[in-house]
Amino acid sequence: MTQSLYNFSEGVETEDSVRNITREGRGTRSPIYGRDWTLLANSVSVFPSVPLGLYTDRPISHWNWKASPNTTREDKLELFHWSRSDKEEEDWISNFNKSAKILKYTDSEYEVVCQEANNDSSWSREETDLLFQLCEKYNLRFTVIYDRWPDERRSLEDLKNRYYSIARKLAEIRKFEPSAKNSVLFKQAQALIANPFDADYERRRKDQLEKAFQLSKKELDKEESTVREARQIEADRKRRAKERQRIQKLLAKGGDIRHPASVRLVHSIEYPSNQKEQSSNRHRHPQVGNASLSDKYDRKGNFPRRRYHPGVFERSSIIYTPISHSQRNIRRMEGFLEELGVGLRPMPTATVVEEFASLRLDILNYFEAEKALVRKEWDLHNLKVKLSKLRGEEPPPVPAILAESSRKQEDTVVTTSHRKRRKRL
Amino acid sequence: MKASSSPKARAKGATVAVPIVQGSIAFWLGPEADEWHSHRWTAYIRGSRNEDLSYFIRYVEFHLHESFHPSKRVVTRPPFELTETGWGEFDLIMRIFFVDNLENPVELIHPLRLFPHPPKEQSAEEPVVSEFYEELVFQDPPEELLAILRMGPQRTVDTELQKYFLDFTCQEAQDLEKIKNARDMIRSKVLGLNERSREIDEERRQIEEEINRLSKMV
Repeated sequence: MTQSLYNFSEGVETEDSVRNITREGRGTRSPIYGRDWTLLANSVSVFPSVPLGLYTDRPISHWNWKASPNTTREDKLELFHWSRSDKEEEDWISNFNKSAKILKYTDSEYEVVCQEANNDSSWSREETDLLFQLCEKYNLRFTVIYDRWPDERRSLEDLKNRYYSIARKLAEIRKFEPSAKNSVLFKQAQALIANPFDADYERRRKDQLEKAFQLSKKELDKEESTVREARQIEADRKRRAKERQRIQKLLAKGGDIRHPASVRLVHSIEYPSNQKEQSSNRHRHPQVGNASLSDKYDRKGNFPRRRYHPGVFERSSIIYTPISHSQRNIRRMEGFLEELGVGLRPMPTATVVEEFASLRLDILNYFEAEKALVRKEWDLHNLKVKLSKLRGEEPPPVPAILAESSRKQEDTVVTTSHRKRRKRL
Repeated sequence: MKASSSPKARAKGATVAVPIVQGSIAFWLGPEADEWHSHRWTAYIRGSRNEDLSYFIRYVEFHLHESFHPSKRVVTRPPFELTETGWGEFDLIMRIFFVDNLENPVELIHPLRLFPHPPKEQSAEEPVVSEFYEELVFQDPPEELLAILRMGPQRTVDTELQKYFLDFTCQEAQDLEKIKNARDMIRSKVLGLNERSREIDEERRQIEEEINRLSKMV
């Protein structure tokens, strides 16, 4: 430290040395020096312009190598360090020399404590006395106490448990008042009462740490990957929730977000539950009569209609309200509408909107009828295969129409199972 | 201010639909134009017969793409149009505020079109017009607003872009015709499906009989 100060006064040739000096100089003495040297070094002025009075004739203070006073230690150990000669040395070491306040029991108290505080009868009075002595001697450093403990059977947790349960009981029965005299004791007692020592928890905690420490590289990698996956799943979940919100907002598009009723409208459209239908039909013969091929959707439930409520809205918003939940249906519907020459946005007058909605329902029913027909075709095909087996003939080939639709169906099966899986997550 | 001092009653059961047109017209500024300002476009809200809409519209907010400064423009006087120059297409938001404070504003989204669709050679004389007919439906409007709406527009407004405006008078009939045709087509398709369904039923009955016969023999 002193060395750097001398360097400092010797003058500066290069910028590097300035940096070095200022860096050290800052920590040692008045920071003004460091700051101004940097200023000087970075500026181009040849003549140093320094405010008057910055450098005074004040002498540099002297530093002495001397022992510091240490009142708390009894062994008269002397510790030396550098100190300023013009400052009075204070006893700063004793600030670190704290000793724990250990509550001690009397004979009568021990009786009470023994009966109530600890139901562990394996502790004798002598052992407890020894424990408290060691606690005082080593300032509650239980690892050291455990090391000095003569009996192999006691674990570290046992020692801690014994000490803290007795100390806690003592704090309870003595009832410290928060007076100035024993405010430290009062705080300590409060802490003892508020945080009872849980030996069992402590044991399990250490067990777990031990296990984590013993993990092999492979196991560790596995655990890390599990955690990563869990995080990924969590992130996915959040992203999906966000996406859902966005879609809901889109559905309620067109300024209608302000009207809660219209938002409800979009959600209150009842969509046919295709999945349920499919699963119930999968195992038995689809009893689809001629009539039910096409009247699955009527205009009662599943129809974008605006619930009547006061306010203003743009008519085209009804045109944009999707009529089906299934993304695939929506996409197909859009393709259909373009193909049929209607387009996605006919002129939104009252009659057109009404007709357009009917058209979309018709298309949806057509999709449904098509699906039912494909099921029938499959059924028929399976019967034909059965018949050819009975006759001992070659099984007939799958009709082209089914070969194509089976691919599509697989597609939907995948998406539904995928959806189910995602729901589970 | 008046609205807050005396709560206005809504006219229960009344529904009024006001036809308007949202649109944009874009002129190509020619091959010499600055690449950032290749087109001059105008976005607007107009009456379907060019009537002056200020009788029920107080002002229109145009929310442009963020690259415009400021991106929010307010037009308080008819015609409610906004002209800018730019190079790209984006979705414009037009928010219509009504003379009656009780009525919430309506937000229309208009896709600005600068390039002809389907793509073809641009010419400086022929603008790209993109218009959508729209109807504002007022359900239970406030009494005062209802009176204003019933009275209707007082005059028309003339703008120089007028000659490019589309005419929607025949459109409704055309669209209805298209929808009707489409519904007919779908109906015939469904009929075809039903036909096939009956065929399958018949065929199936025969095969089942055959299977029964054969399995009894075995």
